[in-house]
Amino acid sequence: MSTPSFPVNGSEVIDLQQQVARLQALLEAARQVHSSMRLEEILNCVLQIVVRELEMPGALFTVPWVVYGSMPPEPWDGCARFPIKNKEGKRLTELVVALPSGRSLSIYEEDFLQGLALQASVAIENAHYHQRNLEWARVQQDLDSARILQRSLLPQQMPDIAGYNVAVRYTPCYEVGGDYVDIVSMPNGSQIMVVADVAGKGLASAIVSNAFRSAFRAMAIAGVPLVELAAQLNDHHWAEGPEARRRYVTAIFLKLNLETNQLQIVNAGHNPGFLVMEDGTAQEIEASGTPIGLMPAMQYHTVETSFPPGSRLLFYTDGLTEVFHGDEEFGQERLMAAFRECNSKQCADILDSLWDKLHGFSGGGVFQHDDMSALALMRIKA
Amino acid sequence: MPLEAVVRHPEERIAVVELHGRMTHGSPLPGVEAQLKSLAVVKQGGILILDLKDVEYADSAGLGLLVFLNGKMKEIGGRLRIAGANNRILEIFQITQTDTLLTLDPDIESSLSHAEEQISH
Repeated sequence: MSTPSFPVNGSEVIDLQQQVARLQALLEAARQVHSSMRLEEILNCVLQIVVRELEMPGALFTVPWVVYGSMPPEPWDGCARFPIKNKEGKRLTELVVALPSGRSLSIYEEDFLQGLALQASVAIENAHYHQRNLEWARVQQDLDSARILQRSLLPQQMPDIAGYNVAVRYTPCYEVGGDYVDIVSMPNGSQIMVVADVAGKGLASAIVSNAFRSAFRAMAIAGVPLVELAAQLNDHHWAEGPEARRRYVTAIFLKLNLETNQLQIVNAGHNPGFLVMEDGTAQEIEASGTPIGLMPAMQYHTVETSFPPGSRLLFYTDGLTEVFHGDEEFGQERLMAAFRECNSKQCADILDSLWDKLHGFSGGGVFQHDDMSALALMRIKA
Repeated sequence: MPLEAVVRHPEERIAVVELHGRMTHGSPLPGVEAQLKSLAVVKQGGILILDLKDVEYADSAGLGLLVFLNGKMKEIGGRLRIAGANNRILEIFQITQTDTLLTLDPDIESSLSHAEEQISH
């Protein structure tokens, strides 16, 4: 950029040619300033224009501290100062320019620096947005990886249980969720299943959910009886401290004994499990204690029940009952009714039809407000 | 309606806080929590009464906050009383069996008379 020099004395009028040259210089400066999205580069570029093109002895930015050329010591006596503000008028930084000794700024120089400061403020604000976008992209990438990982930890295939049919469904509200559904197949053929819901949702709940998963699986595989498993999970979670406690876990556990075809169910502060017999009689299996991690030394009880051919069972999280139509909640009764009415022979179809019902109920409104999970188990009628 | 807390202090060792709105994840729960934590009774161990009569609904995050406060108050020798919870919220307490853990009063008058009794002992 060639620096035109405009010796303007007092009220002398700048002629048209000079004005054009002046605008061209500013345009070129703007092009340079806006050629980068990086804050440091933008600041350096502005300072270089001031020193090299405008031939000022030095210039600096206060925040972050960047200096070019030679500057008098703070408080920069006799320097020209240009506050840099964003669109809302909030001060971002300040451009301080050292003047050639013995003179003040010409009208042209003053005008040029004002224009440069304005361009700098736009470029700096854009750089901040750009930085925020980069950070957001990183967070988004983290969440995507977490989502893929969490998905991969769900049962990928339903176990082949002779005489039984089982299905699970899991839809987190956000990228990751605090619901947990799992099936552990034991060497003797018996099956341990769980549906759990960590209080809250999102990433923090997902972290708790995964810790819960590890502890649950380790104890389930070791053959720890369900009541003891629940009590130990509870004590372990409680011991993690107040922040973990508020992310308590409601959970319902089931053990299917294939030799006796009996079910053992332990409900720890979770929504009741639904048991429907072939003739349509229904039973709700309610909590025998508070959710996992809420109170120390909780004792739970097992409900033992037979599960004759044609019976079916549903465990779910409250994301299903808390689907809304306006102010009206889908609720437990409607869910039980929908489950009783559904006479499909495949658990996957039962869950599909429940999800369809919920979609229908919400009437096309925002369907999901919470993580939604369910497990259906059926004993096949020979 | 977003969650709001209105603080009332009938006595120095008893604070009454009225909550309005929904106690759910995504509502300004953390802001309300910070407001409650700044109360003298929560710092020094008095009686905190939360009046929920204008709370339409609470989810697990809301319940989590209540249980957290309950634990915190006990830890410092204070007490949390919950007044006027509606049936929907009482049902959540009942499903999760937290009704055995929390101190629930039907309305603010009953909370206040219990609190005054506790203070005078």
